[in-house]
Amino acid sequence: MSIDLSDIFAGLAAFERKVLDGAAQGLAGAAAGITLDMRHTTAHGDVTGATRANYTAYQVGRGRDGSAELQYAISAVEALNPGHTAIEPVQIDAEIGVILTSATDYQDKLETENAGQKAVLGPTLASSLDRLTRAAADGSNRALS
Amino acid sequence: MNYLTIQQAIHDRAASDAAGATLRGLLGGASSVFTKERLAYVAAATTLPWLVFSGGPVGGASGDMRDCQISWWAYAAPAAGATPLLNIVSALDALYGHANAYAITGGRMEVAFIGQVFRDDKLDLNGVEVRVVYHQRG
Repeated sequence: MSIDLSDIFAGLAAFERKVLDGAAQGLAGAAAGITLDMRHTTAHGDVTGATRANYTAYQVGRGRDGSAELQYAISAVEALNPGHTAIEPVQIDAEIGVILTSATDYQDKLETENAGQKAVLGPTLASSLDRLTRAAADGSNRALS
Repeated sequence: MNYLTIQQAIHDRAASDAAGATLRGLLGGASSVFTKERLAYVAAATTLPWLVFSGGPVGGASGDMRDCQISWWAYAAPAAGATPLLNIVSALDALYGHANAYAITGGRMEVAFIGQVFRDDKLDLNGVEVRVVYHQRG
């Protein structure tokens, strides 16, 4: 006797898609909030306005590569502080994720100099982990309900 | 336990507890451990390497898992190379590492991040960050 399990596998695959797509939507929403938080940072000044304007957090995976958000950050730096744009490629070994970044060539110094006195990305990431986890879980729950 | 108490306990483990003696032996002296707020006032005569404590943010809403993060920033003279800093990183990892049984009551502590050695042009020193996280529910 043979049993056709194809419906079960198809159902599980659909379930997985819903969970991940929902989590991605939840993370995208949380990332937008984190972006706003970073753009209102008081950790440092901003003579040109480029630093605050370009801070960006964005969700990647499930069809989104964040290129639009990253291009926004690059354009902000080019417009407000020309010649100080710097980006590096990253590879995330995961289905979905969130990237917090800045496209300026001096962000490394802000993050590290004087024991991180003017750091934004590191502290924001540290304080956002629970928020992101909850957003992903809530997004999956909504997708399944 | 409130988070100021937790931060103090994390600080004291390296700065004054017996468990941190090995770590402190790698530093310039007893006055070489201080907080970020004192960084601007530290006399140039303070012996390197330094270990600078930076209290960090607390994430998560009440009732959820909450993370209390702090950073230790180690500094050494560029001429000394990376070795003194890497030795300090190893000592911090041993002091707070997940494999270590140490934990403040009601939570769990571990090293969350070890940075690369970098040049701090403002201080004219080499530095490295080690981030310690304490997880607690509520």
